Amino acid sequence: MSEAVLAREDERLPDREAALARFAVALTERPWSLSAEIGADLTAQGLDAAAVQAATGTVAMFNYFTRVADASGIEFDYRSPLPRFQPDRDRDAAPRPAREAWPVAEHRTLSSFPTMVEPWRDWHDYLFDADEPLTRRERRVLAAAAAQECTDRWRADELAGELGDPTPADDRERLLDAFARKLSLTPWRMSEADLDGLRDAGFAEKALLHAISLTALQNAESRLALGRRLADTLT
Amino acid sequence: MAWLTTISSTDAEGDLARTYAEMAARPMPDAYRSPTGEAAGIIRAHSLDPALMARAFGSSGALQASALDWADRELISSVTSRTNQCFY
Repeated sequence: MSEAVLAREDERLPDREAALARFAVALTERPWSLSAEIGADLTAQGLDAAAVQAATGTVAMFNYFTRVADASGIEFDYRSPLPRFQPDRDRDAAPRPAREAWPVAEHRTLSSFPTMVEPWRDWHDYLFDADEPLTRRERRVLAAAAAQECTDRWRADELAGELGDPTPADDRERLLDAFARKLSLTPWRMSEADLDGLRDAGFAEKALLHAISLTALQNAESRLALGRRLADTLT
Repeated sequence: MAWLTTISSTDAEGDLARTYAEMAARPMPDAYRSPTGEAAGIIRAHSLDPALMARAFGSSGALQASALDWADRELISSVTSRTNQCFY
């Protein structure tokens, strides 16, 4: 199965695993697209609401980890007998639908993982409820950009309310907004120049980590909610 | 070398050293351990803020008790990383 995944040939996988792979692709690449058809695809393979929540949690976490990896420039440091994965950095992000088509996902946690609720809230609060090294407004500017690119209407509206005027107010905020949009849409195109741009604007090194982590977290949280929304439609 | 400043486990002190030690003590498949014995890059990427490191990986750890087995979760994580064009 590993070779099929590396070769982008998910249809070579057994039916159940292929359904899980299709779900992971959809939630990662087109989070607004989790339709009844995708739900039916999963239930046809015996995957129930709890399994879809579990899959959602993994997709969400790896949308976090991949963005941190891509934005921080860490090197591959794992042992593997498999061929090295070759990313397609020319790949474009899927075009986003108009705002009126964005799904509304009110439930922001995974009910099948009650032990996850408190750690996740603590993580969220640590990043959002701080005044340094980024201001609270700067944190919300980052998150608003990420939530919009994830087409997470509930969260985008919530952040717009918190910001008052969600339009980036100055050059620093415009830089953060652009950073979050790029990291959300095309994380594979991040480069050291993106961090240098923030450094040149006066952001401290720890602020760069918080910008990366918060943007990545919003990408994870939006997918968590959108996957939960699909799971709630399944029996 | 990473683009973001990182602090290795061998150079860590205080809270960061303690957090690295806690991370290393967690059950983890051998494939996830760096062959150098150093903390994996994705962990080191958080090293400027050990409190953030602990929270990020604590949340991911909470997903281990799952309706899906380890092989399914590995499949999903691999496909997710591949979709994001990421080696991770």
